[in-house]
Amino acid sequence: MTAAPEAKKRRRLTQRVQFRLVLAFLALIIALLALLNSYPVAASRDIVFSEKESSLLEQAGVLAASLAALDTLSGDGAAQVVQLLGLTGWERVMVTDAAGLVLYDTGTPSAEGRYALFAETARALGSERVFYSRFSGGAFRSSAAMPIARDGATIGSVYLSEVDSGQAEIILAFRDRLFAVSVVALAAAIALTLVFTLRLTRRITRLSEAVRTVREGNYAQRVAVEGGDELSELYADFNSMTETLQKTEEQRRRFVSDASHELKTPLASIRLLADSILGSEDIDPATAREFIQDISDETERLQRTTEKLLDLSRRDDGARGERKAVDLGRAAEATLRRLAPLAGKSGVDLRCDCAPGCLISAPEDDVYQIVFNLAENAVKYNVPGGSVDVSVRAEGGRVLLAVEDTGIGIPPEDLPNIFSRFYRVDKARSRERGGSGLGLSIVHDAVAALGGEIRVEPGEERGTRFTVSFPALDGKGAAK
Amino acid sequence: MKRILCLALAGLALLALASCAAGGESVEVWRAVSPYYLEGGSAVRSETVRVDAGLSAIDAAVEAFNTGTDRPELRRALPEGVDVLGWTLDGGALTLAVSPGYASLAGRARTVADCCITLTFCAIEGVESVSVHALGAALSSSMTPDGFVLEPQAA
Repeated sequence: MTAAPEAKKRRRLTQRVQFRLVLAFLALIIALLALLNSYPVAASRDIVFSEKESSLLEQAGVLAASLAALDTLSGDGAAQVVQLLGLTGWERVMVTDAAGLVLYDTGTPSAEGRYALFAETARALGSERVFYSRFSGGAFRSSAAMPIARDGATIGSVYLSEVDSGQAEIILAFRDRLFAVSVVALAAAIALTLVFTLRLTRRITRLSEAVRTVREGNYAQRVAVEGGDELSELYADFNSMTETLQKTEEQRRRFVSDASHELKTPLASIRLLADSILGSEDIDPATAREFIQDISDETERLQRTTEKLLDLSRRDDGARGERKAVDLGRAAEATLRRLAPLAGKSGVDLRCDCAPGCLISAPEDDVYQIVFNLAENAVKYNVPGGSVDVSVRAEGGRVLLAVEDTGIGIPPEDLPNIFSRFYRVDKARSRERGGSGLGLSIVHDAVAALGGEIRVEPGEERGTRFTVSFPALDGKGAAK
Repeated sequence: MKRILCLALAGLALLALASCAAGGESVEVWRAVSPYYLEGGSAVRSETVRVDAGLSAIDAAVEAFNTGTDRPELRRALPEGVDVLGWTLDGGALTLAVSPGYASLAGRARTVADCCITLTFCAIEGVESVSVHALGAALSSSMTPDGFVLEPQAA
């Protein structure tokens, strides 16, 4: 009983559901925030790269075309063209001849008079348009190179480069702001996740504690159902389960108590009678014989009760007799013939209106038990001059057995309990008439096992009417 | 266990022999970058080439310069059939005799060849400038590393 709390204490943080939920949520949130922080910045950078490419190549193209128009490609000529075009805002403007010799350069220090072996100029001299751009050191560093072509021949190259920190600052500020928002969002998400998971796990813990309480035998344990989510549904199911358990436990206790009582009463009588015989030395033979007859009657009642208990027990264990096609009408007639002496003795008219060919699939013994118990009760709890009408008929794929008496009847408040074991409407009268309180329980269990239904209602004028419905069997032996 | 130890010792001995066989001199040689690999940076790049030991520094550099390269991103600075044939050193001025085909190089290819020769041979102690001659005629004179700008930032 103490193993569970100990296990609870031993549970590590990483084994807790809350920890795992928080971890999963955090992983998801961090992944989303990482995406939120990286994608817009990357997309903005790509837009700037694209804009730079277009701008630099266009300017390089204009410069190359202008230089190609000069008679001679020279440093002075290039300087004039650059001045004329107003290309003064670039980080560097360089013009080379076909060999890569730098003719004009605005870089610091100037590379004029030296050979440029940059990848950009090398590719431009190979007649390619080149553009490179990268985002580093808080700035966009872009360069473009283009051949200067005249009459289909490359006579030189132009190289433009730019360092743009203005747009870089905007993107960096945007990135920083996104980061700040993300930190706040992450903190809020952590707090919310903790609250949410704590609430969830508390509810699970409550249910877990309730389960432990039930396991210890307290079937009255219930959990308060709040909301309408899956856990609430689970709570409701748990409550329903404990209610059933409680009811079953109560029935079991009552059954044990009732069974003990039912067995104790005849045993007490037997002992009393036996003691009387033994204690009276001069008892006359007639009295002794009367006492012994009473002992015999009580023993018979004990035997009947124990046989019925055994029958119910076998049914509880799922024991089923062999099913065969039984003509319910004929079986009812045969059973009623056995009850005829009792009916005659009680002054009750026993009538049977049984249609032929009403076949059902059932063990013969079960059919006998059902008809006998219902008809015997109808006779026992009848009044002198009363009647019992038993009928069997087929109707809509079912076979109906009806037993109606004109007896004392069953009060409406007792109707829901009459199939419970040892339940008696009138305990004194029932014992007096040899009832065990188990007959209707056996009928109920037997009918249910055959897939049938049993209904009880007051008789048309007085008494009680039991109607049992079975699945009908066609002539070939198959249930309809 | 002894067998494993013997095998390990034999392996070590083989490795030692192999390293002895691979002995020689390392020379840094400048090559042209293949057009496909021209993605920023410089159009020339150096690699280390091993040549036979016992050669003078200039002879070793000549041998290394004339050999081809296995690296796909680099190619020999001189075209096929054009080699450095000989050399003379006068003070710090190195004059290289090359195949006549050198004279047919023009434009960017010539600049790349001049640059690679200059950077390779000026790295040798005692060489300050390099001139290139073919059949007695001067093709390039007194080239120094300062005459070449390899990267935009290095200007």
